[in-house]
Amino acid sequence: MTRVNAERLVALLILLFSLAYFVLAFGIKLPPSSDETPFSARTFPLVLGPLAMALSLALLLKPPGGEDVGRGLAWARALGLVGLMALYALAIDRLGFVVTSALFLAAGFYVLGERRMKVLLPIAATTALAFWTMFTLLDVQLDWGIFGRMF
Amino acid sequence: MIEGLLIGFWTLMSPTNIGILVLGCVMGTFIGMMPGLGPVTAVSLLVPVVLTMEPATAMVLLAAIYYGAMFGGSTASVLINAPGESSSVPTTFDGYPMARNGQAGKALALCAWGSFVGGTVATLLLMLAAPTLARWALSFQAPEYFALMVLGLTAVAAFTEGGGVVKALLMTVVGLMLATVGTDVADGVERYTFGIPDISDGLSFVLLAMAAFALAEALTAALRNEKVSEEAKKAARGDVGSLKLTRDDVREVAPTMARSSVLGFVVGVLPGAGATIAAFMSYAVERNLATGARRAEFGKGSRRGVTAPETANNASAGGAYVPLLTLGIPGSGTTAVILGALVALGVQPGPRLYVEQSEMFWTVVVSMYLGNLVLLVINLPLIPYIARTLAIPEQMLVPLILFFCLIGVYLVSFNTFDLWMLIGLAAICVGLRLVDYPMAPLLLGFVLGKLMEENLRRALLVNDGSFAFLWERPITALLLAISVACMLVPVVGKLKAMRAARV
Repeated sequence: MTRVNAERLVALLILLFSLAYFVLAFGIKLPPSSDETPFSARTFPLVLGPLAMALSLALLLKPPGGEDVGRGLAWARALGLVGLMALYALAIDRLGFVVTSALFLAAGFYVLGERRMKVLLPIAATTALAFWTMFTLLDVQLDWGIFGRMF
Repeated sequence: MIEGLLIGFWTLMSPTNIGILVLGCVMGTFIGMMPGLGPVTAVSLLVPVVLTMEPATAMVLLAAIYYGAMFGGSTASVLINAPGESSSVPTTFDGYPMARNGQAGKALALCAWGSFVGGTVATLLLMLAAPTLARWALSFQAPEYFALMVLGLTAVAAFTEGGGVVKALLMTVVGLMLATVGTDVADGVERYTFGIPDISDGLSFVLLAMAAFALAEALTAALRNEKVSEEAKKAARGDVGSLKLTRDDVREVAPTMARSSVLGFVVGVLPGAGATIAAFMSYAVERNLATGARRAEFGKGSRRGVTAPETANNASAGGAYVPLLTLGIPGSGTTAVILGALVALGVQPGPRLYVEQSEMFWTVVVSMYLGNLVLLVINLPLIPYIARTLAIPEQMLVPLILFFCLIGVYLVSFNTFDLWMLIGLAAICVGLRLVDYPMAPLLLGFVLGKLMEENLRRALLVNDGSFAFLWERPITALLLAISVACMLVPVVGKLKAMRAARV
């Protein structure tokens, strides 16, 4: 994406975000007593919303130029890592801390280019177990998920 | 003052604290050495750990990590010409040439001694400056606090590097907006929670710090595919040479250290200007002061050129603690994270901290000093060994950092909703970073948001809803005038540059 387009896109998204923020500020429910007070729960949001809108509008209309964005970046690797983190969030309550962590680390090493199973599997498993041991010693209870029911 | 110092030492002198100090320094050095990872990442990674500790121990660990990471940044600058963060960029100018000349050990020793002297002088000046400032600030009321926060936010936005002032201001406002999420303190009504119970107490500071700094930096590193070159790895594994300084070295750099310490401290105290500006300024000052052959050495391995930025950036770290501790206003991303951690621990920095919890104040001062001492006594001799970790492959490091972030957030609440928030926010922050939106103002706005709203509310209530206090109270008006001046500095600079370009 060219620099100017990327800048415009981001500025537009922030503008929409601030607009939504501003509109939603009118929906903040106020206690009946606050009618006379000069400062209610709405006041600050009602000031911040337009401020952010003005600033993002300025960036939208006059985006700074520069080098293109996104060229030569390893998108697949970064998206892979984000996907793995999402899987971690999905799995941790089901598979428990140790198994999920070991799988996450092993897959992370793999996504970033480490292909030697003899290296990545032991390191992932040892790290996960080491952290489990450490937290158990600190009296933090870590769940084993479905594996907990096997013992 | 002496009494206070003794109390501080007394509180800290336990085997646990000393152990944590050493561990923190070594860990900080390790993280700071990694390309793309600096003190903010190091400090924010440790926040969840710190929140389980006693406040005093927590401060020791944070100070140790902070100084350790700064030193790690210089190590990477000298050995592989890859500064971990912007404040050690000028260190590469002369540090790397020294390393190429086979004097890596000497350059590292100069860095360590410079950091130590800078830190020591800053601690002394902090002890002198903080009580005066705190006593003066005791008379502050809501309007002054509000103005002070406006100043803190605008100054940081005005002096943030890269991306320009408008983006920095926008990020500050977005940070303030994020701070309004959750139950409003005054009216007790929920704002922007969309009925989700997980955020009825507001967004978590740990989560935002992790997402904006540690996680976003690690993901950006993976995205940019930055790699330590093979040559650099070989250099790190090799012999760094003698770590000793000769009498001639000391004579050469002593005046530099003195000048850079004071300069760094003053720059550090000013809100917004931080370690980076201090480092670049001191380098420029030393080069301008040098004459003849000494001047020609700059850029080719000048001992003064290595010493100046390292002394100044450490001194500025000490200086940054002055507004943080006495006014509760952080001047940089790292101090914003430290402030957030302190508040979460139940310590509210501000003038009252010095008066009412003076032992806490002195604990912080002493822990900063000990952090510097440990760096010199323990870290420096270990450097040849720590440097070998530069050979750790990135494909191992990045997943480990992601893992630390995930468990750091998960183990605070055991709530997977927080993990989803973390991932979502980190993805947004990576996007913002790609187009040079700075993250420090965002976090600063978030940390100060609630306090700012509260103080503005109180000021308005006392003044019957009139905004006249903004110009009728002298200190408030002065602080706001300085904020406006801060905003004008970059504009004036730009105009000058435009005029110069036209001529």
